[in-house]
Amino acid sequence: MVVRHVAAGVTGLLVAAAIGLVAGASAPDEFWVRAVVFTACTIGPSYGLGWLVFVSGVAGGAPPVHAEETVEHDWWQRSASASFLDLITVAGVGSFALAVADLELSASTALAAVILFAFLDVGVRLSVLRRRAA
Amino acid sequence: MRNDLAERRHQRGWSQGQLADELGVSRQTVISLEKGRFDPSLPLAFRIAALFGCRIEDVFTPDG
Repeated sequence: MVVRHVAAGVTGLLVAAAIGLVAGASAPDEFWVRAVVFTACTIGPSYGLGWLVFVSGVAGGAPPVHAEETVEHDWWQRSASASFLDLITVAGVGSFALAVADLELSASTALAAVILFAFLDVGVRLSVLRRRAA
Repeated sequence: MRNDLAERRHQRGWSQGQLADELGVSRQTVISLEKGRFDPSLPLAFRIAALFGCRIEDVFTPDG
């Protein structure tokens, strides 16, 4: 099992490094800055990819026959639906704040913030539900 | 909902994992059911009743 986690880590490093190299190659003047920043920012999701490939298939055994009737499925549904409402609220408040302050925000920054918020919100809600059940 | 799932499981000498396998759900689902923190779906409630050879209302009791 340790070997699988190491394989996931190595995969994550390689994928993140490849993304960093591609990003760096797109701007030769700032190659190393872009390469390092993109590698650092993508190393988490890249490790997740490695985990999916090497670890998730063997960790915890086979999924339940009636997965849609498990409490975990209920937690996910509740977290995702509540997070969607949170996202709408944050987007609305954010739009209002930007309009009042007359600020400009690039689309890529706004989208990245939205995705990050969504991940964090769902993750926190799932953790809270899991802890309450413990 | 309140239930006597834990008592019925102990009578059979089953662990929570074994009951989960019998019902086709996760062990965490059985834990949450026994603590009364999760209400089963109708198909799951029927499977529980069929497994213990009783009616749904023999296992589950509404709160209050």
